[in-house]
Amino acid sequence: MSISSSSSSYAVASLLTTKGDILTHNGTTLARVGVGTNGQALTANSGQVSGVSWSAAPAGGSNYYVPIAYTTITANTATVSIENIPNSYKAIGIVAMAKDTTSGSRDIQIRFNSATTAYSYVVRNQGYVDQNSQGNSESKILFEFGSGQGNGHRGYIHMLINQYADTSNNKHGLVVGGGGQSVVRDVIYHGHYYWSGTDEISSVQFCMDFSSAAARIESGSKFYIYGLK
Amino acid sequence: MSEFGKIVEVNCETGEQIYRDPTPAEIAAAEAARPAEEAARAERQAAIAAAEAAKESARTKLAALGLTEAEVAALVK
Repeated sequence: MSISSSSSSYAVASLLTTKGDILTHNGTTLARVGVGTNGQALTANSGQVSGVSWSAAPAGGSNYYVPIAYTTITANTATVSIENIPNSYKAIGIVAMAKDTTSGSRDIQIRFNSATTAYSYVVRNQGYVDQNSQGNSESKILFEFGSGQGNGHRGYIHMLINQYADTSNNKHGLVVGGGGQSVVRDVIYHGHYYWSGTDEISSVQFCMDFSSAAARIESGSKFYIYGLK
Repeated sequence: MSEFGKIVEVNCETGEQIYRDPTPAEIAAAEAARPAEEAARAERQAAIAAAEAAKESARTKLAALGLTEAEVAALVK
């Protein structure tokens, strides 16, 4: 916008002289407020003639969720591994919306830090149709869709991982989800899982079946991780 | 081409996604674990089948006692 040399716009132009100047009103007339220093935020301040002042920007607050990573895989894939999870969050959540390409009995299976140790994962689960509580001999967290359904199993997982960055205690969390291929074979489940590892969880692996070389997560499946600030 | 599928690595710090083949060590580990994994699967499925068979048996016996279909369904989920 050009400033004309006549009328009130000239007065405005003459008030604003320096990069970053902003225009305010002091209750009687227009007033200039010079820019603050880098990173400061403009704050209402009734003690100032202009009614505003520059002050340190708030740190950003806490107790809200922010996205960390999101992916839609673009090829049929054996394993999706979410790596380098920052350890700066209070908790993390992971959402998986996955589909299977192969027939037979398939699951959604999950590991932390690629740990394959037997007897390290336990799920206490309340489910429907095919779901039972997973025993304590497992080398992964497992949610089974059932057998003999052909391909096209779809699964949805939402995991909450509390104190995932803790380096001295076992990990516990909540998981809810569902899956199936048709209305007669749907499963829903909600449960509590336990992992005996005491390492910080820096990665999470998803697979349809860690025991099968043929198992594939179908292209288009989605994985999303978020953190609690 | 290996029968093992690609592994997608999603780097949370950089946002980068890498599609890579499994390493020989990863394939060897999966092959070594397979018998135990398959045995665990068979055990789980046997337990599920046994539970379903027990439920069906219970339904039949309850019906024989004169319970209605709705009453049986209320007792055996």
